Amino acid sequence: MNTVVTSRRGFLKVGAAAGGGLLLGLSSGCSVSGSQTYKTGKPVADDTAQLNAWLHVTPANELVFYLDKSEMGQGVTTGLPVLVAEELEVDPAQLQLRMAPVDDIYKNTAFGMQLTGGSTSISSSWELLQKMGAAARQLLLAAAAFEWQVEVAELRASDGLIHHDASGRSAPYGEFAAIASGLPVPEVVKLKDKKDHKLIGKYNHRLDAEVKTTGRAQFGVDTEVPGAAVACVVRCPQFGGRVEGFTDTRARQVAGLVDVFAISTGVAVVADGYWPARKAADLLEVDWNLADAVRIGSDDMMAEARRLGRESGKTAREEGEPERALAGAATVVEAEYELPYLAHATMEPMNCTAAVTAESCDIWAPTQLQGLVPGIASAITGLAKDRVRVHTTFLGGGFGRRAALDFVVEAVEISKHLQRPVKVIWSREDDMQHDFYRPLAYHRLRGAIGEGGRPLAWQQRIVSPSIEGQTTAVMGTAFFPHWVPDGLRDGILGSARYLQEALTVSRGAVEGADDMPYAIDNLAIEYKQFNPGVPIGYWRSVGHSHTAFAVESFIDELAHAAGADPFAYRRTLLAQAPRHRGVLELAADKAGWGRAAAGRYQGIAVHRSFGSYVAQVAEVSVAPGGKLHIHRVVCALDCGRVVTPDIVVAQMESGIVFGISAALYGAIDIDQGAVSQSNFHDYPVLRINESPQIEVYIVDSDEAPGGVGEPATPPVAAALTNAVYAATGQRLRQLPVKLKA
Amino acid sequence: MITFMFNGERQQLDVAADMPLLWAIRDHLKVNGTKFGCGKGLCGACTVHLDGAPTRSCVLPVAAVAGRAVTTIEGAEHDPVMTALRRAWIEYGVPQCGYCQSGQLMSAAALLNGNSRPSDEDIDSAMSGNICRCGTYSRIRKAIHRAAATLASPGDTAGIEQYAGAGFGNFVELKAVAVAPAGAREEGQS
Ligand code: FES
Ligand code: FES
Repeated sequence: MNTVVTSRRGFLKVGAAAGGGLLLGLSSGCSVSGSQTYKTGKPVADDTAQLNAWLHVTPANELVFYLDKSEMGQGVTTGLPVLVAEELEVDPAQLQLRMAPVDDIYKNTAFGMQLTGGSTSISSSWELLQKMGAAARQLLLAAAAFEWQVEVAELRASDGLIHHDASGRSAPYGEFAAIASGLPVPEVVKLKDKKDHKLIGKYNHRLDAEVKTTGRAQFGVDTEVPGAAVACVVRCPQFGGRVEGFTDTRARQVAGLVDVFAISTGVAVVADGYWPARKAADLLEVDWNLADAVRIGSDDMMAEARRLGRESGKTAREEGEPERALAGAATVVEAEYELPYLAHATMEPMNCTAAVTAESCDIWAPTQLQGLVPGIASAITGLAKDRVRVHTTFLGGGFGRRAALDFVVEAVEISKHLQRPVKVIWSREDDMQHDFYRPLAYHRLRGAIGEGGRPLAWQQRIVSPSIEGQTTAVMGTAFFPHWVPDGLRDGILGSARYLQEALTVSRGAVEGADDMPYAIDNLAIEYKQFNPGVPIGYWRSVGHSHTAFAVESFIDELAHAAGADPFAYRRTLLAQAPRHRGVLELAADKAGWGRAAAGRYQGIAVHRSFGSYVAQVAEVSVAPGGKLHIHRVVCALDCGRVVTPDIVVAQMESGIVFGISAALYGAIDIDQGAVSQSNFHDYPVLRINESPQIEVYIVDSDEAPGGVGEPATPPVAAALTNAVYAATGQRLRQLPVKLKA
Repeated sequence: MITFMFNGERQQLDVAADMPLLWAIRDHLKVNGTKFGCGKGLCGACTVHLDGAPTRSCVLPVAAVAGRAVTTIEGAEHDPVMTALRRAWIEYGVPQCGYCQSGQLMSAAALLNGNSRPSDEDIDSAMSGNICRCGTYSRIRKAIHRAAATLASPGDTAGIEQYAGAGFGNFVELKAVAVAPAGAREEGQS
């Protein structure tokens, strides 16, 4: 039985302070920072020690670390252990990792719920986990002082051992675990100075690499629960369609079929394995009710966005008098940028395993959002939330897709119906056609250029659906007790969505534009909401994935209109933005800006997102037929303090490849309310033979840590299209790119 | 009944003849290192060796392997070429999410078995059927060169153990999970 259980007693020792901060020592008691010897008469409750919600030390000297963030490739199985190990004075490889269960203590302080996203894992854990490591070390030292009857000050912790140099004694942490667990948690912990760090900023192994080269790493789809059936779900190809009825005569003839029944997302086809379930699903005939279905296509949607772009929107940022400056300017530059819906296409298709009984519900899920799973499962099963156990597996990619819980809902509904364990597996086609897409976006820009080429005005209007509006409606379910009738719940959530969309500017649509860093006196950023009915969601870098393209393309257009060098133009306008300017200069320097080899052309872009600053120089050549070749991408990053440098580099490489895939190929087209693409043949992603050489340079910084999972993605499309402009004079304003011959 | 060699042992399976080898391996032999990514031969996640040749198991009917030898990532674990590749994969920190990596390693092993010193172009053409959505391509390239170099100079014996990571508690033990009623747990979660 490997279900993770963390005791409530352990949690009581570390409390969340009001406002989401963390207090050590709510249970009060003595301070370990002094040198007093502990005298505790308390009997030891059990022989293992849950020192806090993240650390558990057994007498056999197993150091168990509870990982409260999902591993989807971004490296939390290394980065978070390093934070704790630095202060605990152990080799990170000594830690036994277990996925944390769902508990309030593990709420991501950036969101107020237990989730992995927004490139926050390091920034939200940075201080917390160092403190947890330090507090645990202090408890163990105090316990050793008690056991050996010496002063704490005479003891030293290193490499998982406590040493008493005066007597030459040393012993592993495990020997003091039981006593330590009975001691009061220290009120004050002192963290090491940067100069004393042995691991932070230096540790360069990747702890999950070994298990991921043997086939033994367990992803969601690898979950094996005894007696589990496998389910495929047939969903309406058109968004908004519902099941009216179905004929399963032929489906039921497939050997191994278990059952066929309707669920909230479509019709579940359950069998004793994936293949029979898939075969039967293909034979199922469903009668869809299309009364509320989306009928239009993405061309119509973009046409509507263009039309809305002629009207003014809600103001996201306004400075000076942009209209007046534009009216009076000698040179006005205008441009429209258009970006399509995008699928996440995680390598592991969506899946989830659930086992619902009369008393309990177990869920094994590759999820970024375990915090809302108990609420959703409780709403479906009628079981209390504390009857729901969530087991987070490795994620075969996340990119924001796994912050949705549709696949969890399906597994729970099907298992509840059958009262047996069920694994739901999506096909690649299901995955691509029933995603929560990066919304399409239309940007209309106008810029005024004055004397000496200086930009006088910048007006940007963004038309794109509101992710927040949709999220309010979809996620809200988890916050309602299960006894609230569906109709009432939907009514409340529907009005919440309406209010959200009607009254607010969508952060997910304007982020990266309304904090545009260039010094321009007259500035207006406006947002215009529209909702064509296609499910949308968080896609690696969210709004930045389109705003960076528009902003960094348009500033390039202004530079060229002003007859200036695009790097020098940006640099001048970033005089008051030192971190932007720092990465811009570093990237230009390392790329040899302006000195590309014959036949090669460079484009540059800089963007801040998730607390980090990234500049990139793309180097391309374009063959006479219009064939684009990306030779090299040079990337400079300022993400503040770095924990695991090589993983940071890997995340830059990853984000760049992800952004290039979107720029070159990414498009989800909607035809009559249904997605046209279905698999990697018509939704291609970058392959090794097209992958450029990537060089990453990290700025040495003492600033607080920023994110690294997403920030490399936003600027790359513009760096690329700016390079194509340099090569050919073609300004590519629509993604994915189409070069003329 | 289909009989074939699976990871060095004789296996008999009584499954539908049109079932893709992938699902026979995963659902019936319960060996899960070979992954499902697209089901259409487009991504390489399901790559196994069939009589030594890299093969997409998601589009190969199990009936086609009768009398032949199938090797998966598990069966290749101690093969010297695979050992060199794994060591290089770990040294260069290749895996991110890791989901594509069984397939990448199986394709890379087949490449090195036929070409002991591949060029970048050789690597690109042998590996272009394997998608990595996490974009680990530049590291894959380096790691294949590194493994080739290691195999060429057997004196280099740096062990995988040197890089072995932390214990991965429930990440590698999902199979053993039995379903117990919620009341059986210790103090519960909120
Ligand atoms: S799953 Fe076989 S090639 Fe993609
Ligand atoms: S490592 Fe994630 S798909 Fe390759």
